[in-house]
Amino acid sequence: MSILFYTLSLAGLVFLTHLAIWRIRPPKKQTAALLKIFLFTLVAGTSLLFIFPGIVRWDILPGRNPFEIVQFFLLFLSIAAAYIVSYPAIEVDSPTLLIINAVFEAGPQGLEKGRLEGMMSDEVLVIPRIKDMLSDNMVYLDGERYRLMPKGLAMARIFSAYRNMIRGVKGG
Amino acid sequence: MDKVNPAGILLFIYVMAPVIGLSANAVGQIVSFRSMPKMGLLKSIYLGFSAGLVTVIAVDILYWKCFYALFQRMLFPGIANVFIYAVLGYCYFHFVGLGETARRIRMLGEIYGSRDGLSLKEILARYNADEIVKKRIARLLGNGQLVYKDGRYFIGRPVVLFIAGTVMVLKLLFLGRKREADRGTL
Repeated sequence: MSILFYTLSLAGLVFLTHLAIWRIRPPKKQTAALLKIFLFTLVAGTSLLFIFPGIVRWDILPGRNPFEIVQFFLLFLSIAAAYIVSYPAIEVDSPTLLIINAVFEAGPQGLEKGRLEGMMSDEVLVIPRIKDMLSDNMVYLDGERYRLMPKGLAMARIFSAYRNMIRGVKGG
Repeated sequence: MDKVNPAGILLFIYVMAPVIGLSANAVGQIVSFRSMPKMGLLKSIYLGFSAGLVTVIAVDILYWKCFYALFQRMLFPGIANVFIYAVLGYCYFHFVGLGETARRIRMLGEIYGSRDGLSLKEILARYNADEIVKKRIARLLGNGQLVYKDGRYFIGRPVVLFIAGTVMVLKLLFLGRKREADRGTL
């Protein structure tokens, strides 16, 4: 139980740190900044177990045996991954949620079909994501053509391999 | 050469149960979707998750059965295993979702599939707001989140509306605005 307690407490600390930094000034590369917060917390949290072994006796922290340390690492890293993959939903506008909000805001009379489609342009849904790919070093502009950088190539390959495995059609 | 310690191997398997469960999840999801594509991606994700969960619980039970004397000491780590697996399963769900709905992944795929990169005009010819909206409306109508009647859309089931509300609260909390467009850089 101490593993769950300690790891969830550290995750809570990450949440508060995230909130504090973002309220002061959101970093330009938000995912990278989140990754740094998680790594720092993991290193600090692990160090605490070894620097102050006395508090382990309170039975609220994992012991220092390899089994508990590995389980603590696994739990912390999986929470970090879940947190980081969920964050873009806050950072950028999801078209699905924009549609749902637009229909909700139209009230009980509903939203006219043509109006909904007119509200969503390439400038709102596509261009900002291309700018993100440029700033995240996934693509670069070569004259007028967008080409993949190593990071973008790796991501494209991973998802292409998965799509081939499930024999799926193009997403988006 | 040292003899291999069976208890050590079993402990290693016990600690790695969530990762083994995640592998079972991925294999179960891919195999079920390939063999029964009509079931849909979401159901295959549920099926894969269930396969992984059964695997994690089976490893936990196997370990407890072999080391009954440690049962009390190892009960909570077993619960932690299930918790870690659930979080990893959530990550896998996101991974599949990214391949299915993420705009950046789709555009990276389009550029990857081209010989010489793509211009903005070519990207928009292959993937644009019109297609994005049509696909999402079809999904929302398909799962009952939206209802179409007399040329108008209405909210159907409130699940996605609830998610939209939660995301908006978090946007206000972290970024101080309701929408990305509110930052005025588009």
